[in-house]
Amino acid sequence: MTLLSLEGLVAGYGPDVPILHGVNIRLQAGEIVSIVGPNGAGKSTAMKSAFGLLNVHQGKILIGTEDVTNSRPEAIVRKGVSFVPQTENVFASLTVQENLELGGYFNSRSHVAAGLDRVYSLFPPLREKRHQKSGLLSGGQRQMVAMGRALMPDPKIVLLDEPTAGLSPKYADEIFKLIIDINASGTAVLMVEQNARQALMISNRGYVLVDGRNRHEGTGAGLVRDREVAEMFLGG
Amino acid sequence: MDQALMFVNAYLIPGLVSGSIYALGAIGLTLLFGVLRFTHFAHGDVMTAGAYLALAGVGLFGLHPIMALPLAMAGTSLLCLGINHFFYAPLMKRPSLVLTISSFGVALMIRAAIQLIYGVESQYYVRGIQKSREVFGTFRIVDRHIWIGCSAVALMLALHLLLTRTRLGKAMRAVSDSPDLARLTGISTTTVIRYTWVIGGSLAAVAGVFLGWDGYVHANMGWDQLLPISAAAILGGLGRPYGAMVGGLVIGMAEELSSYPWLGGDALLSPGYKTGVAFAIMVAMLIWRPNGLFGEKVR
Repeated sequence: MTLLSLEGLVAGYGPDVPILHGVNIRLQAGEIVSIVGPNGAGKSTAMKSAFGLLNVHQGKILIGTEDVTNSRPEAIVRKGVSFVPQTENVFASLTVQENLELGGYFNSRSHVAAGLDRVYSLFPPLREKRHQKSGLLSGGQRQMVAMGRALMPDPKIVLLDEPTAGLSPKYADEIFKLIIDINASGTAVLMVEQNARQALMISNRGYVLVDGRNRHEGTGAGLVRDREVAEMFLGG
Repeated sequence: MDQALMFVNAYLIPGLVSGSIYALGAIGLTLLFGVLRFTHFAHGDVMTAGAYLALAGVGLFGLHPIMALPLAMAGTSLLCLGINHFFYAPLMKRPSLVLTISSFGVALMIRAAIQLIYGVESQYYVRGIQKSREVFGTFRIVDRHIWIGCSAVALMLALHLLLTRTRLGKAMRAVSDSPDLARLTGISTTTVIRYTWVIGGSLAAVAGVFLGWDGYVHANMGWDQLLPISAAAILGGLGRPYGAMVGGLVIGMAEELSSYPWLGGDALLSPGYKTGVAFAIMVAMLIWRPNGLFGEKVR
């Protein structure tokens, strides 16, 4: 079942200059899908457009079978899609638990309580730090808070924008493990990663974007082995 | 002993009273800054509007100033929602300087409207000298100062509970922290902005009524408070409601204590320079600690 599809998307930050020139991306239920590519290829832009953060000039965005082209982020998050931005992804002056509670802003009280249990069992270190201000946490723990906040409504889909950017290799490994756990609990994951090799290794499928267009697509393992993809940006 | 009594009656209590009033005004200013990212220069005149609404309640229904508070709060909230809808909301996408300047215009309109309706003479909630009561058998305090102090503390406590215990309060703090992330989280910033106006407007109304009760009601009364409440908000760090509470008390106390005869004989500073004290504190803060006493981060 297709959960999310971008179809022939031409989009940009303003009404004029497009950054994406016809991108096609699909996310099926139960999948982890990575978007990789060189800098400036429009990877993050493609993902943000799915969350209503860009001007769509042409093409369509579907959640399931529902057309959500030009919907606002506030509406998209209510349809079971959560987005974790790369930077500024926690409310720094709020505690860990308050961040998580706000993740369930439009959910019922019992849903929020269940969500907290779920998130704390996925990210046990957060339970100990729940009364700490999230701005005082380490980078890896902040990323956990950001992902936990996104998981609170129990979404069908999580969009992760460079979840390991700026993290030490040890923390990056941990985040990739957590992405596998999140996926195992039934949430489809679409991510953009500059740590392309590692991301593709844990992905069912991957898309390679270049200059705002689809260049390759295939299974995660297949793309890692692909000579052209490797030469282009996996570092040989 | 006489010296201590005079200190409490003539400096400490008035300092605490005006400090409470400044705090109530500054909290609204700082909450609005946090959520909307502009300094609401009409906030003093919103206080004036609250004071006149209560005056209407006192005059028409013979209400006690405290009983007129709900009327003033409700009316001022509506006024704030109205000015937000007609003036600020359409300008939200413009640079914050545009909003700031438009708030000057709104300030002039509110003041002019009040002068048209009520004239420019000073008016009073209660005429005549109020009796004071003895506390602990030593110093004397008038009833309205007890009311003002207790109400201010109760309102600040209520605000604290709102900000830390309720979904709305947490959402307000979230929007103040990062508006973009708040939208991604599904928080409706428009709703949060409206509630912030209701809360900021209500607290300003209370500040205005207390100010009028402790002195007189006049069309310029709120505008004159803009300097000390801005100083209080900056002292506490713009966007930080708890800072504004402390800032208000500090400014109120500093203004009163600056005229205490610390060196014996005459007042250290003539009471005429009170506003200057607030201004000096504000300038010093802007030079050395622009993020406020408790601030660490530049926004």
